[in-house]
Amino acid sequence: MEILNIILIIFLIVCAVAVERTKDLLSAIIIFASYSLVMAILWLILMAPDIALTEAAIGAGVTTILLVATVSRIRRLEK
Amino acid sequence: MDDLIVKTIIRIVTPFIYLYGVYIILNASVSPGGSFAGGAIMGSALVLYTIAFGLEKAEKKVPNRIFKWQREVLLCFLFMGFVTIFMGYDVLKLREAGAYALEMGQVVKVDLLNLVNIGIAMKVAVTLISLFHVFIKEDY
Repeated sequence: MEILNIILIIFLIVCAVAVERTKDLLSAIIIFASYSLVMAILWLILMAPDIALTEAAIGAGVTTILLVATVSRIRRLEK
Repeated sequence: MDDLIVKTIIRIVTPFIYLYGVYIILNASVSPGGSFAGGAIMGSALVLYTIAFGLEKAEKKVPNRIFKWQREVLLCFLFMGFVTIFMGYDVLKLREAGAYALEMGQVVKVDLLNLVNIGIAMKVAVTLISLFHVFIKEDY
């Protein structure tokens, strides 16, 4: 269980850095969705299933869709 | 999005998402989840439908007037308060009336809290759907 925790947290940090480094906004949104999914698994490991459900519904679902809708209205590449 | 596979899969999957949302809302007081998560799941089901079938069909599914529901949630709270008073309990002591069932696996006698949960879930779902529709509309 310790090793799984460490792997998930390392993946989380890598995702958070990659969101900031990516120039393509759509790729950044997809990486952010995977960040949210890993965060939901971490909440479940920390024995908070309420927060895990909400994170999976809001963070991975609705926030991603709203950000994609925003990117479809503006240009895709960051200057 | 004109894709036959996506449309067929979403047509099959959407009732199960609605069923899961209703299950979470109705068991909100005794199981993990809660009314906010259940409402978000029910709202995201219709967002999925909007992505697959377009805005016109989704607006036919959800008429425009439910976006103006502001008082219904408050009415749910008021109704719960009045039911508690007419049962002979104090409003501030809802636990005695059976409104709070916070322990896992406990049999709920009078599930008054479900009324408030349905109200909160309705508000959350309507807010999510209206946010997405406003985002996607071309000119308004």
